[in-house]
Amino acid sequence: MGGMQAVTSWQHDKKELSATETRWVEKAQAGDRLAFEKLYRSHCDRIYALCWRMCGADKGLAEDMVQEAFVRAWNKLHLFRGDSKFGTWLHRLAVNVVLSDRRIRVKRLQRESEMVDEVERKLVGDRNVFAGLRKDLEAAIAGLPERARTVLVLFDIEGYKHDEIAEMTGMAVGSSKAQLHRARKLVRNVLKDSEGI
Amino acid sequence: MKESELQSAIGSLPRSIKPQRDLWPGISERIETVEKTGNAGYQSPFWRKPAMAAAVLLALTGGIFIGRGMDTPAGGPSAQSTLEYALIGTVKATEREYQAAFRELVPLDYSGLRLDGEEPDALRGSWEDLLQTETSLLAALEQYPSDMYLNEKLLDLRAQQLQFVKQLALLEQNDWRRT
Amino acid sequence: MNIRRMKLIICLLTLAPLAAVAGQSINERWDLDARATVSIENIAGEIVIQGWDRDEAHLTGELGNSVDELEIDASRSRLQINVKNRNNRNIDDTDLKLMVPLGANIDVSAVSANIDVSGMENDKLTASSVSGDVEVKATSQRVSIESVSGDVEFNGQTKRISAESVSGDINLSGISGEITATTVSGDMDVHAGSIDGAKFETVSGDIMVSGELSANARLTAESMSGDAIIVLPSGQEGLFKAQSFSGRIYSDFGSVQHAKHGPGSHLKHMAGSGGAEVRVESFSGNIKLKHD
Repeated sequence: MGGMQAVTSWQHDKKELSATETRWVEKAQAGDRLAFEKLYRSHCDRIYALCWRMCGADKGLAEDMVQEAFVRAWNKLHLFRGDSKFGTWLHRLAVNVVLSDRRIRVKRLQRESEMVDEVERKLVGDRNVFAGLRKDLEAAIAGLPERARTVLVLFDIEGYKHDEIAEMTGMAVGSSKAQLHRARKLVRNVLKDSEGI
Repeated sequence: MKESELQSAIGSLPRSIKPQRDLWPGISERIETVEKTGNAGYQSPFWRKPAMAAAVLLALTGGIFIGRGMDTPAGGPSAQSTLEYALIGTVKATEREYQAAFRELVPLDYSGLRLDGEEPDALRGSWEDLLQTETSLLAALEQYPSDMYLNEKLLDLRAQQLQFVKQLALLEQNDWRRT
Repeated sequence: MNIRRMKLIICLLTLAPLAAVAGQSINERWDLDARATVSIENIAGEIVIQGWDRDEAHLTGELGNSVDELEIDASRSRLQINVKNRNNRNIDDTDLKLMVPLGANIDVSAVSANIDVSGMENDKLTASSVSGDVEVKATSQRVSIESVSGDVEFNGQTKRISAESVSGDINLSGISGEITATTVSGDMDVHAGSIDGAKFETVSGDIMVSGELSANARLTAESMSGDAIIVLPSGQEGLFKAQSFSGRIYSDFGSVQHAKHGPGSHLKHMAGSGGAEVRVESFSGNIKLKHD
């Protein structure tokens, strides 16, 4: 299936990179901007996907978040000690950047109408067999209330656990579970309405 | 659809999406500024642009105290006096200059302040609250442009925004002292 | 009075290798007048100051690895302590505890360090941190406490207090006299006795004040989107004024009017006689004037 293929190839690429990545990280920590750019190129799409979904498919906001995350990563590079993979550290940093940016709340109200078109535009040309459903799914996720969307993206898509989500967002573990349940239910309802499934 | 099918579909969504444009130049520029100045973490923050700072101060101190502290009449437009018209005029003039100078200072960049952890986020949150109030106030003024109370509140807000900027500028100065 | 200035600089890096500096413990004493001035400056970590019954200052604590110099300027009437770090990246915590004569005047400042002052019975107390919390328990004539993103708390007695935080919360109790409290987004919770003059200002934080007004006192509370709740004795006399653009006003004193022309609601009520005045204003926040 098309979706599964995408996941597998991402993991494969990642394995190849991990060997050289340690070198890039060390160089970047010493101030080598070219090495940092390589790290950027390697992780950018991953971070963008995270930011884009968490921001409710808001392209402009997501782009700001990605840039902010990488600048912050540059400033905090000296704090990365290699206990985890660089990508994991970077990913969590990006989650924190998005969570602490309150513009999402204000912007979301303003851009709801633009959102569906944006998602459609984005997915044009994607020949994935899930194309029709995927477009609706992205739109349904983007349309979720902010906290529900945050938990769904972090749990179901990005693979964080509830206690990790609770720590990052400041909500209780129970709330995280409740929000996930709510999010999945809402997405199912939206899909039911749109597709008559 | 079945819950399991939905879970499968969600789990199959791609975890990487290529952004529509190259974001590196924007990042590179911001980290380059850090490098250039040669001081760890220092970057010229927005309030340092001298022309803007001067314009802001001028806009907000010029005539800002006309009519302050007086009772807002409970009655409507019929109760307005010359002083009140002067207040509204001041606000309008101040706003033009303010919009020109101050607005360009957003978005704020705190990376030069050498604060770590949540502090820049807390400050950013406060600034966002100020901006949100500004949005709401301006919207209200669009509806009721001659409302005395709203005009006074807008002047108060501008003073609070300026105070915020001054506090940050002081922080930055103190940072310099410690270098 | 002959004041002999004694400058004592403990240089930790110049002669000793790095290993000797790490986690250096401090233990110093100085004779100090009962009403001396004490000022202390630290960047990260903690500053604890406690007043005691001796005419003496005692400094203990642990210096962080990044400390270059502990600069101390000591005379009988003045003690100045300044923690200087090597550079501005990777500043380690330096935790200091200073016992001082309880009548000494205090001026303490920090960047990310938390500040904790207690046991003082003095004239003037100033404490400021940028991102650290500031907590003071004292009896002091004039108090000024501020933080930018940290919380600010005072419990004790004072005749004049100024408390400020941008995003942190303000908690004041046991105070009276002149009060000023300002935040942008932090909340404030104030329990006062007899108020002579008070000004509370916030943009989006909530204001909660309880106290009583002395004759001819003026209390002003201004908020944009935060709520403002003022609790006064049921027998409080004076002029009550409240105004809001879109917030709701609830009042145990007088009744709320809605503007005949244009938006908003307001209240103006004279309770009893007397020159006290309460003025509460908001943009969209709710206002409550309650009696206890």
